Amino acid sequence: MSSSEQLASREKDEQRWSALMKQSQAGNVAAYNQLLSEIGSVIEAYLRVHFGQLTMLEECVQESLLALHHARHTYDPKRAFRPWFFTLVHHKTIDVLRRCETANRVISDYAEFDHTGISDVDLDRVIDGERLMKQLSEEQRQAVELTKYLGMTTIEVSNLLGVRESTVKARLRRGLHHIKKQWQEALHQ
Amino acid sequence: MSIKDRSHLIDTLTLDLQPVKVINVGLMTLYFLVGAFVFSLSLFLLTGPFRSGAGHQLLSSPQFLVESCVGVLSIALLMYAAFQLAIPSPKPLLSQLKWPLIGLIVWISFYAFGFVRPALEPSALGMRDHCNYQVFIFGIPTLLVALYWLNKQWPIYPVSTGFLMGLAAGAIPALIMQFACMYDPHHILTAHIGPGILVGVLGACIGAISLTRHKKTAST
Repeated sequence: MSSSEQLASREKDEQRWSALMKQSQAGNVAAYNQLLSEIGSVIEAYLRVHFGQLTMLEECVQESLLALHHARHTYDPKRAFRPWFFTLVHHKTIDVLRRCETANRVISDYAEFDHTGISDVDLDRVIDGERLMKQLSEEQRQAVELTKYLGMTTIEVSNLLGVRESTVKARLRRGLHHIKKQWQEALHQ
Repeated sequence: MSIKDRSHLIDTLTLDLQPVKVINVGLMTLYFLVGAFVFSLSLFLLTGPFRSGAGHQLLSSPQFLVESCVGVLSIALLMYAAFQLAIPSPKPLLSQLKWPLIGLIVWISFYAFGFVRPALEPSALGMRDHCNYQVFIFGIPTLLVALYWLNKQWPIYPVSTGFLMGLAAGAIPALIMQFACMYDPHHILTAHIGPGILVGVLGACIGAISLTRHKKTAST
């Protein structure tokens, strides 16, 4: 594709996304679904280009989509869509990477502190969050992911899922309790 | 997290979709500016009289008129920039801070220039007790309301956003105090402008706590 064609395609995308966002702001579900689907792939491609094989890539994509959802009222349809959108993606990616870095530091501190009887392989197995999460029910997993992975408040989760806050809290409590139990069992094996 | 989760997330977000009102930063600044001035003026009227002849001085001294107008413009710029900072934009922070801070410095320079050539004859006429505390306290409600609103947007630079809004909120009573208290450049800088700037520092601190937390959860 020549540079002029690329430019034209970019311009076309810009106009389409801007129009879709405008419709989404008015509550058009189909337009919003189309926008998020297209944007999801764009974010993924953007992250691959800028960060290479990012281990947290999918998390970054989903966090960026959530950020777009919550910040959609700040987009002014009279302005360009790309700068607004990529600013969100950029900052969300930095947030995720920082969080990941902190988590890694905590894990490595933990490994240094309490390495008695646990080899590196065991530690990896023990802290395999994905495995632990899979053991939760769908509702519990959703509550834990939205609050603990993505940092939402229980009120926000309740609004998002359309359930009462107390229900979210109960699911979260049970989910965390289950994870803790599994974690302790794994440590003592 | 997998691609499957992503489509699930998109479905959930789409299902949750509500129409939203798009933010107009200019209009929002105007509302807040007018609201904050009316609120501060009410507080001043409730807590004591204005300096006698202050209105007349405004019309009779061009320098006083200009420095007051520059003050209003500088506050408007600070407020506009703070609201603008709550909207995601790739503009560098420095370029967004430049003009409002230049405006503030120009306004303060008028009072520094007042040491050489004051706009009004310095006097203790109309002096208010605890004017410094009043400036600081009167600026806080505006700051808190504005931060509450900013918290609902998507501020990328929480400290700078809080700082600018704090400066704007503190500058409003600092400016009004020129009409409600004695006119003396040294007194203005230390007892009116100084506490106003302190509101800016408070804004930066609150912004660092509340807006940063929001930034982390905003994406959720």
